[in-house]
Amino acid sequence: MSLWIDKYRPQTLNSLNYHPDVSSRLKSLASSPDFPHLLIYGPSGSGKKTRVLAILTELYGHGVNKMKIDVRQFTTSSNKKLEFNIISSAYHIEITPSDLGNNDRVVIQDLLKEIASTEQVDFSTGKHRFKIVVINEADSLSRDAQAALRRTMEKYSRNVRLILISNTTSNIIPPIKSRVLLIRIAAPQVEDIVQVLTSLDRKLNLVNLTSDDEQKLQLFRTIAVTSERNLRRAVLLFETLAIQNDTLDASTKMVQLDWELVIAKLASDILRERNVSRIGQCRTVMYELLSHCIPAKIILKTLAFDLVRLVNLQTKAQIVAIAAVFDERLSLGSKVIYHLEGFVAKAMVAIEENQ
Amino acid sequence: MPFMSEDTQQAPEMELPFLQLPTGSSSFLFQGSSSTTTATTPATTTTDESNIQNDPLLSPETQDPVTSEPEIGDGLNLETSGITSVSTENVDFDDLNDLNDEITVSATEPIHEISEPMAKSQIEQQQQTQDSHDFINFRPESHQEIRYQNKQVKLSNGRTFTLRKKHKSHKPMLNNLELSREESYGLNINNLYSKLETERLQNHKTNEKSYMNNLKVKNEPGSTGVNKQTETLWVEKWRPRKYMDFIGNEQTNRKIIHWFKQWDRVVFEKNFKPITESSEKLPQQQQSSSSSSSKSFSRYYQDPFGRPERKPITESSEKRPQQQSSSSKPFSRYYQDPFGRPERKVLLISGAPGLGKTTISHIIAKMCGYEVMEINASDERSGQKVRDKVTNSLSSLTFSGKPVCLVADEVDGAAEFGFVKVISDILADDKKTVQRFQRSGDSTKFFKEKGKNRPKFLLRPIVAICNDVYAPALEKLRPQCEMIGFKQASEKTLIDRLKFICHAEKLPVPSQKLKEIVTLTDYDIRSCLNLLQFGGANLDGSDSRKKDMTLSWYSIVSQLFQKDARCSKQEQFKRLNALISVNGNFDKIIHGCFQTYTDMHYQDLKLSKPSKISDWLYFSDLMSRTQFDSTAGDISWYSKETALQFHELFSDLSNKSNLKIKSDYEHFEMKKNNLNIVKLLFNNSPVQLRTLIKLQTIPTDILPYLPYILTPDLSKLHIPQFQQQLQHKPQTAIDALNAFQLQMLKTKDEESYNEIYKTYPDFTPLVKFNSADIKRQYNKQTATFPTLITEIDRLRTLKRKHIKDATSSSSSSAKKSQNVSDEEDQEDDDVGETSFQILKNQYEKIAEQEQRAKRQKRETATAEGRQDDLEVKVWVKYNEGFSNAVRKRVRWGDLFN
Repeated sequence: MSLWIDKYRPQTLNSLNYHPDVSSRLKSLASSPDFPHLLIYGPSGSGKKTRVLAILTELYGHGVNKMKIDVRQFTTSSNKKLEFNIISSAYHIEITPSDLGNNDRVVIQDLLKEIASTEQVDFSTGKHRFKIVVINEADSLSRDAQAALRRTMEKYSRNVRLILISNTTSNIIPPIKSRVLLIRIAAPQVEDIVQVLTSLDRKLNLVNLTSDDEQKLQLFRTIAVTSERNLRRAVLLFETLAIQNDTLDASTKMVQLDWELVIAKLASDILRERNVSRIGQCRTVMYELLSHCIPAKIILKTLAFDLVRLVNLQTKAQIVAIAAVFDERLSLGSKVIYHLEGFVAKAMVAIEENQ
Repeated sequence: MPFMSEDTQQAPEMELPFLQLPTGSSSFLFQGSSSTTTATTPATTTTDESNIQNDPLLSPETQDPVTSEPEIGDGLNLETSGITSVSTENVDFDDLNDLNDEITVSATEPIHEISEPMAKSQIEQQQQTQDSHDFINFRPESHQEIRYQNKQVKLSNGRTFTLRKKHKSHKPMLNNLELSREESYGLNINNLYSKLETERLQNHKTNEKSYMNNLKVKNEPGSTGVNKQTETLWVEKWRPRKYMDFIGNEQTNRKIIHWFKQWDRVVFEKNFKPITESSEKLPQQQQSSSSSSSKSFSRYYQDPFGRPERKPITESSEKRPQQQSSSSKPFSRYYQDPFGRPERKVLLISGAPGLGKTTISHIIAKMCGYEVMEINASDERSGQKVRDKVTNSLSSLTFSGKPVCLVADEVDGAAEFGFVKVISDILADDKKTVQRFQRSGDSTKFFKEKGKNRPKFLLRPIVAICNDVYAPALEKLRPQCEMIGFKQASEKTLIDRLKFICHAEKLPVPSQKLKEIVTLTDYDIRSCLNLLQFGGANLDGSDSRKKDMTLSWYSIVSQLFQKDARCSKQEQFKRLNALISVNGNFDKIIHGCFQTYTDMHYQDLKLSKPSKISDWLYFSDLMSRTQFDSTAGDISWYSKETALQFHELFSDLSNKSNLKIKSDYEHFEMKKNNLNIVKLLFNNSPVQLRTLIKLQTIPTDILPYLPYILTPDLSKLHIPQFQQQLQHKPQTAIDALNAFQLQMLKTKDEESYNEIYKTYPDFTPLVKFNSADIKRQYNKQTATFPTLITEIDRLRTLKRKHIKDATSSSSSSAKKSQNVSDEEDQEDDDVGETSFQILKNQYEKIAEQEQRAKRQKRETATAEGRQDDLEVKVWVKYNEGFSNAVRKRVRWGDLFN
């Protein structure tokens, strides 16, 4: 009783649809007597988490799927009480330290040590005596937290293995990178997504899907492209289309995301007219997007790509360069609206110059 | 009775015998209270009697008042005078004959005898055009009543208690000002001034002396040079004592008076009653009093002779309805406030320090007849303490008998959130009450409410004083305030005043120096006086005397955008640099600049300046981040360069000095709200899904699809040939609902009051970017969700059935059901059995019936190849509460058959 992305998720390494090389490598890792720390990275919607869960199943059997949510309390040095959610099974725990923002160090120090210093007693089911700690969003761990992590990884390696999951490795400090095995999960190719959707269709037996194979492939390809090779979005889009339309074929209209439409309109507005009042209007839209919880980096990226699509070749390169600069500023700074607007202003100048 | 909201005040009156009225009694609060006043005055009763005798004209009409003039009741309902109209209203609200008895019960003995005729006389009055005229006419009489003291009132339940009359205790205006009532609404300031002026001229000499008196006394010992022996601060000594002492700010001062006078009606009016749409009292009062009889007449009007005077106008009673409709229009002038209070009920005075904000608010409040209750930053202003204090002071009288005016000084501190919250809560309560009041047609019933629904009106003026209107603490209060900005007095008047003081203090200061002092202190009178008093000895224009000016961040922002033509660029740069450094609030200044620069005038080529400033903003962002970075040390100091860069790039001569700085506060609020919704959804999702998705990807990747998944087109679901095709759709939608534990709620649309379906938590505003899309989504949900709900119910029963089928064997149940149906027949006759037993049996029976139906259905289902559900269900819902339905014996059997 959930969304398709959850319902039809592959549970084991064997049933993974694409990246067979990665799957086989993970499998051999899991079957070996020891297990390294892992850093799994790749773009959003490429199947990192699915693979991690599959590894866990491979290591411990299906018992890991009996997960529960605990709420833990932590006290910071300034005596502030923090609540923190932990997902755990008998064999692993999963944490997202970045939930706590700047206080993530506390979690790493306290919680990890606590887990790491206790040993697994139950040998009956699993063949491994270590527990696995999955750390989500490792790239947004603060410096302090990462520093706290590095020694823990070595000191308690007898009892605990870490699996870090992140989108990029660039924010992760070198000492950690050197202690982990890096595994990159690339975004699935369009054909990979088509394959996944085909197998999904076989399971679902959708009545409103066209029976023509050619049309089906066409539809799946469009879905894959529209969702920007993000499998999560592709499956959600497929679900959306299946429920919204009476018949699904190659001509089915894709569902556009509202925030993407807003950004697309922003891009075309910028191209049409460039002056200070337009900057002011753009700011309003930016605020709107931000208040709808769209991360600033995603706004910047989408807007940059939308602009690149609309301008001439010379400007394309400039805009990409500007976007890169402001992407860095977004990561280093904290007042996102300044940098989003700065990007708009600079992009406007670039377009203006090349006209 | 100014304290409508006070339960304690109303309580004895509300316990009056009307409680015994069978129906319709609830609408008598006003009448109840005023009827007691009737009871206290034999004079009134005699009037009524004489009235009737004098008035043969009207008696025929009394026979059928309700049919001839149906709207009378409404009009009278709000009659303020309340003296004679009391019992009439009673009659009006319900059947005449029915209620006469009750009225007599309610009054004391003498009334008892006359109550019926009195009622009649009142009906006559209703039909008169001059209802509002009554009001004026009877006012003096009500003042007279005051002299009648402690009246014994006997209740119908035998209890007696004493009614005490409150004394009218205040004067409308102090300080030799006599304002008549009429002037309290439209205040003719010029008249007041001329009045004052003549008074002042008359007492010119004494006045002058009084202002200098205290000085002279104290000046005697140290007669030469600087007066070092002065015991009091000059600031205190020369504080203006009355309105005419003020210099400058003429217009703002008047505005404050005007605002205060708007409260007069609710504060000083003896028997004020709320205005509603139906009551045309106020305008008509003005109309009629000006047209038919002179004001002076109404003022000296004596009741015993009043009736004949009014009678000629009575004859035009037929015109009344038209007049009413026409007079209801001008009412909108009094906007929707039922008490004629000012639209914004808090006065927020802002301005630089030392301009006399506190002084003037105190003096004007006193002048308007209030007792000032000051709460300033030195008082505890947090949470419950201040709440108690404020609510107490707003709803009680002082010992002096004057009403209280709350003056909250220095509200812009960081610690004032608690206090501001209290004020906004009071305002919110008031607003809610007003809304409820306007919606409830029956005002009397409304005021009788107690407990949670007790009307919470704000009935006293509140004045808040601050330096910085844009203080974050005031963010929420600002839109609800009447804002008055204080400006400096002009240089000339200020110097004149200083000269006068210097002269009085025998301090020889040349006017050139005075001028210097004034500019140095930035027109701050207080600091001028301090400077004169203590720095008087060495007036050598050194900078050390300069007040350490800390301009607020918003005025720095506006200065940054101004180019000063008078001084060189370097000078201005230096000055601004100093200003910003002193203020120290770099982040705020820079953000203010960022928010405003797009609206400014400046010269630019191809947007080079905005793109340049973006680099500087990045710099300032990096710098200000160092505040929180423990390793690198705080170098946020440098970020002020960005502010100066704003000046460099965007300053222009044409920019105005008082710019409005937009706030992105609402965006932050919205973001916070939306983030909370996302978190809630995330936390509600099952563990399996939760490990798969990130909090950040919910608003970008998942939520945008969810509205589509939740609203499949199910319109064809009941058409058989589509059923097969559509079968999976509701199931998928329900799965998606379950994935985030979304509930489907039926609510009312805020605008159109249509019924719509929302999800809880409602994420639609988070996903959709304009209101039209949101609305469309709601409409879609409204179309789909009922089907989904029935589908969920169906699935649930299917599940339950499944369990039941597994447990019970069909053969035994068939037998049982046979038995039960036999028993049932017996039971219907057998009243002796306990109802519980019967109920239990009935439920059993229904369970059996269900079984039977199910079996039948299964057979048909197998025959037709699909399931068809027509469940027979019975819910018994017991609604606790009052009902005036007829009571009748109902047997369980009746219900089930």
